[in-house]
Amino acid sequence: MTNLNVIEAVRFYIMRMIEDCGQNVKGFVMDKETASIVSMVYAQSEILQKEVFLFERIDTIGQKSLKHLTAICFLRPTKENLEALTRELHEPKYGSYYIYFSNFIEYNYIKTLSEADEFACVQVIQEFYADYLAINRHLYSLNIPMTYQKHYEWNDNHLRRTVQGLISLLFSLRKQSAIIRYQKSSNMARTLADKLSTTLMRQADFATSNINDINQTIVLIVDRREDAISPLLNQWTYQAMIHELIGIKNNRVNLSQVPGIKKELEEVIMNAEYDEFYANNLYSNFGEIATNIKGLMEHFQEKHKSQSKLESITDMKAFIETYPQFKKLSGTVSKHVTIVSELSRLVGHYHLLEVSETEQNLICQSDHNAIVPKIKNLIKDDKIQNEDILRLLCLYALRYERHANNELDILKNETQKYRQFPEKYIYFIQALLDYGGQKFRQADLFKTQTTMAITRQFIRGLRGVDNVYAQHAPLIKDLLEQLLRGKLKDTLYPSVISKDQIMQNNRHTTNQQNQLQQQGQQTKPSEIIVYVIGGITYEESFHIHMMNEKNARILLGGSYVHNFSSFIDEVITGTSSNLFVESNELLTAKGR
Amino acid sequence: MLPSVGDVREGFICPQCHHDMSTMEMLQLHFQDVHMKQSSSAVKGLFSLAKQKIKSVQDNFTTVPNEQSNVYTQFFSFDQNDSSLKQQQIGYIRSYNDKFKKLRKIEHDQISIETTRLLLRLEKLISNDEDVPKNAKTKERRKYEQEIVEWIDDSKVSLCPSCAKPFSLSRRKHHCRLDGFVICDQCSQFLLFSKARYLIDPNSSTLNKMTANGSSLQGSNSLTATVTTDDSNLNNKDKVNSENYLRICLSCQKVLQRRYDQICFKNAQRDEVFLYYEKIAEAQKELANIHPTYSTIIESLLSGDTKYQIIDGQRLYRQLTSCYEKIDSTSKHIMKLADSCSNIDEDDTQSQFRYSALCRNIRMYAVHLLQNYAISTRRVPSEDDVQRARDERKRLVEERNELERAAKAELVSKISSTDSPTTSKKDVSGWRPTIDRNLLVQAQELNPLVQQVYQVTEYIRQAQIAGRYDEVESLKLNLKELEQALKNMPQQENASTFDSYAIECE
Repeated sequence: MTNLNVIEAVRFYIMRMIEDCGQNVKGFVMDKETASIVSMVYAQSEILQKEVFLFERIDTIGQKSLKHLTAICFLRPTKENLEALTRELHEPKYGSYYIYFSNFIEYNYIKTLSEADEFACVQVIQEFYADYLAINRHLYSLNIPMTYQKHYEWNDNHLRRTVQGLISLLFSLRKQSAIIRYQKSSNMARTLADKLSTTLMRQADFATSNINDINQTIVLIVDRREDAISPLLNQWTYQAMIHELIGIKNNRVNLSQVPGIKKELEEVIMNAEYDEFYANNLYSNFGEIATNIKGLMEHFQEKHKSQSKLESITDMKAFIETYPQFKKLSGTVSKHVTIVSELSRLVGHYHLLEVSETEQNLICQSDHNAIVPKIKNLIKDDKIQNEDILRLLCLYALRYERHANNELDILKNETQKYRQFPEKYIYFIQALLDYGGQKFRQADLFKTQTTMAITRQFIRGLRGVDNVYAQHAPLIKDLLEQLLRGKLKDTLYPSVISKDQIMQNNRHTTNQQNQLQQQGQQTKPSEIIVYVIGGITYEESFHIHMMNEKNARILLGGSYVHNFSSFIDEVITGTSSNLFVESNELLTAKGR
Repeated sequence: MLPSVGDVREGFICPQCHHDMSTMEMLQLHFQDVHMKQSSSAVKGLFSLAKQKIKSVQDNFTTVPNEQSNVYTQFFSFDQNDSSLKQQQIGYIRSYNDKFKKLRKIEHDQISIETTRLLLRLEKLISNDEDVPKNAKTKERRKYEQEIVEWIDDSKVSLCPSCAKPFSLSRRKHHCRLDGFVICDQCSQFLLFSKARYLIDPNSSTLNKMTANGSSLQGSNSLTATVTTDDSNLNNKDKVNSENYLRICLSCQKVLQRRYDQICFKNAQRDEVFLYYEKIAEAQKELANIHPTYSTIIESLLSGDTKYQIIDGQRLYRQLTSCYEKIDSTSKHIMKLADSCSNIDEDDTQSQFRYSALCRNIRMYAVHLLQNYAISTRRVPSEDDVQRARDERKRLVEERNELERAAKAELVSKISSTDSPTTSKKDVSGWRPTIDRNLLVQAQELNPLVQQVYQVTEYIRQAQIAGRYDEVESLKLNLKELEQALKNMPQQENASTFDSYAIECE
């Protein structure tokens, strides 16, 4: 039994588009978003093999018409795209058009397009629900970097986009309905859940033989504000680490900041579907990757009967440079060696191991008096980046927010005494407390309250920790465990049930299921789809992956995949405006 | 994805070891020499390689043996019979094709009624018949025009309907010849008779060639001329003066222009690129036809079969190579087109970029195609190779024959001539009982009749396994006979010895 695969879901659609178009010379017309949706799952060279010879954007189609090309238009159903398409049909540059919208469209659009199609060149007009970025098999994103508006409210565009994204996800996996559970404390989660439920009712009218599909999928909507910790931590698994220290954007990694980088490696594509080494090591920790890369290199070296020995990553890099042939031989390996050596440079240079250990101890253990001096020492250490000090201060602020001996102000003063700390950072700490402080949270984020959690921590304390850098497990994993065991409280995470759905329930559920429900037992889900408003992290992706390895069926996604720096930006935009004013006043007061 | 068009490396790079082989020939040689020997059957070209890679990635994902691997199974429900859960299918699709086409048809029908009406009038107005007055200035002509289209009473109209300016002595009233409405001179459009003829019958008109060329030049494909005398239209006006024309209003012009555009769209000429690409496609088709045959020939030659001669292989190889060359040279030519960008305005960089991307991508496609073929095409074996293969095969065949003969002889020597099992063998089509050698050895010491019984019993068992029940029946009959014979054996034995004595005596 394999888990659902979002990459496959999107690939199915794209394959079908190309096949439906038949054997002729094709051009692929996309918009900015669909271009990234496609490029996440298909390499251009692979599409090229299917006689698709032109890739262009709907907003920049040139003047010259090529009437013997067939256009595959894969577009989001936005007003701008519709207008561009209407213009295009009035003066067609292609001979015929196969139009696919990535989401549901209004009837008016069809009418407008039919009127524009004077030359009768539209062959097909369909909805193909590939309206999300498929990052890994179990991981998707809607690519909305700033979800929160002032006062943590929805912006209409983002809300619409999110509803569309989730509906397309369900449809692309052949799910017409779902039990939608949401975090009650978050207004945004409730709004989204309601909107999703009503839209789903309205849109889902596909003929299906699969009655089992009814009400077996659980969509769990969570607000990032409930767990602000995960984006603050340094990471040690490969994918998460690259994103945290260098940054991954639509499977692309920009290495131009790496000292002495070769031109052709300034931007590299990291796609697990096309890169075996990457696929095998996405979730390996830093130590394992170094070993694996060494193994790969040694294997190659053996082949070439070279004598030099590879001891350190620096040796490896030197080795590569002396073998220009090697580069050509496998671009993948040189890519990974470059990245890993850069990662290890950063880790060494900024003492990230030390920082990370402190981070983990800070949040997973509860010895306040031991941790404060550690932080103070790190503040004085000029090898440590400001950014990492900020991580520690934020974690401290969240962890000991209501602690009797809270020393946050002392730590802040200490920081400003010993280093050039940007005002933005000081402001961020405040913003973060507003974003994800105890006032908002309902879950036991640091596992200090329930007796169960305390005993667990106690036992762990006795046994010692396996890996000091990976003590933390994200909240979402906890929530999912509770959900699976039927322990997720309905009062905290209620489900949306509309009247229609109740009727549908009665119609479709079998007697047995009804009985089970009457007995107060919940039916088991066929899969769980998680959506995190405000973004997810690769740390969370890693933990969900590990659960799926043990036969769980969970898909994880969010508005964005955050690392620390993108998270800072998002939190700051979301803060209530009065806080901003307050801090401005604070600043001016200080100035005086 | 979009901007990366430029940085893709071209060349004949070996998919196995990534050496750049620079030409197709080299790659072919290299691949055959270096990699074919390792795993000739496993490699079926780059694409399958890529697939293998992806597959192995998948395997790595799915096979993680873990003692706790089923921890979460209990929490999820799924119907094992539900095929959609076992293998993911394409997601839902909603089609608007029918709705769209219906709407489009309604729209088009309305317009085509209008168009036909105008075209019918137009046909009469520009008729070449002798009794139709030609000169636009004459009263007869005006009368003729008014017979076809009723002109509206201009006394009621005080403003030009298109520019809304009042008519006066200097702004005189004119009638559209196609719908009879009043317009001012400035708003009038002039339709040349020649163009009107083209509209009515695009195929026979002499204008055909001209417009087909003209249509590729953007901007100059306006159907009508206005009389406003700016420089660019002077020529048109001269033409208008020398040739017969019709005064029409803007709304009629729009309808006719639309028809004109549609005709142009239909008759648009193929761009060079597509003509060349067609050649590639043709060659590719031919390749797809020849290549499998060629492969079987080579396979058969190398296995020593005499069904084909080397010459057959060589002939096909020449055909293949000519296809390769055709694809290679044509795509190179297309590549060159990328730089020239004929027919494109110099300012239109977007179109230029687009065009050259198209050409470059076609070249890449062709290179890839050739690469695949280069890997999967083996050279024609040399005469020696074939001879060697044939000798080898001959040797093998002889060896086998020898073995068979020996085995037969052995059997004959051991088995008595009762031919019941052999006849049953002949009856069998596709299924054949085999003799277990061990059984034979065990039975060697026994009386031939007993051996026979053993064998038949064994045959019955095998036949039952194979489900040949009619054979089982006949074999059972045989068995009974044999058993009968075995019972009578002592007497027979005596009798036979007597017989032999008798023969000897004779």
